[in-house]
Amino acid sequence: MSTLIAYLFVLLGGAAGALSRFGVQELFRAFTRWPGWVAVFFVNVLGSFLIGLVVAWLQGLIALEHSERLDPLQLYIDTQDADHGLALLAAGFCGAFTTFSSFSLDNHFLAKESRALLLFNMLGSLITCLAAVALGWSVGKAMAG
Amino acid sequence: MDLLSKILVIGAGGGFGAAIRHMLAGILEGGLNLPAFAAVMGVNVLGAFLIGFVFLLIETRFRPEGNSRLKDLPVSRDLETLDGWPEGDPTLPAVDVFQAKQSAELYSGFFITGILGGMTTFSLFSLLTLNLVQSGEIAWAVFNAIGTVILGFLATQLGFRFGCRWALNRPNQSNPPE
Repeated sequence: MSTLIAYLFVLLGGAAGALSRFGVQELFRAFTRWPGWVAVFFVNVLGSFLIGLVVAWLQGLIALEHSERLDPLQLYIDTQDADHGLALLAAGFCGAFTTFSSFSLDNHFLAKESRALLLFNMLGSLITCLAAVALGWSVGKAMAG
Repeated sequence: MDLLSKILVIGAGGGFGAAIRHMLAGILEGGLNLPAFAAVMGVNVLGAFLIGFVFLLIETRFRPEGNSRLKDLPVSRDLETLDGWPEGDPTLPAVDVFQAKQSAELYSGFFITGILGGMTTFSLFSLLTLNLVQSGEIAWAVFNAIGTVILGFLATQLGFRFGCRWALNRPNQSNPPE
């Protein structure tokens, strides 16, 4: 039963995440003249930051509960809530907000356009997203106290 | 397509895509005993293959006005025997062009922005790479980072190839072979 609920949270978060990505792409298209891959780059960096923050924060909260409350039932409930939070926000929202398939497709168009842009998108996405998730992680840990 | 239909289509696709990823990653982790980063890598590479395949099918089927982005790619040469590729069919009535455009938006919204966008993920990939770095497994972190990007690129290429074969075998309605 709890697995089914977890799937429901992933589904809801995923729907919101994909729609937010679409929203960001439309905003980029309406207000900038940048090519489409820039929007994908942007959502991937932002989503990486958010997932670091959310996971560090929620896991930090679980650890905090562990140290302060010894009631096993309460502990179980807290962990369940945090797990559902992770399913909704991490696996659902951040997972669907960012995309790897569009990134791979964009790389093919960039490969045709210029090798420099292709390398920029590949290495740039990797480095920026890793830096973003590390930054999000430290912010989330600080938030959990 | 109006905005409300787009929202419904992308929301539904994104939700199911994320649930499919959750399930596939769970199977790869639980069933095949793969580490979490490898499971996400598998789903991402599969999604990269599928986006090449689906994108090619949508572009060859629903771009009668000849403005497909694919015609700049090398794969376009393989499609030259396809009717109306790459310049489109100028004799097509405007209403058919309009309908094709609507269908392209519908299918790419559901399958590409929705299902595949929701199924593949960059954030979990980043998080699991960070996790490898934090636990001192630098070699695996580098393998995961470089490997996912390169394999994804190649998988999309492979998806184009399979899509080509599929598109060229599709019965051609406007000019039946004699």
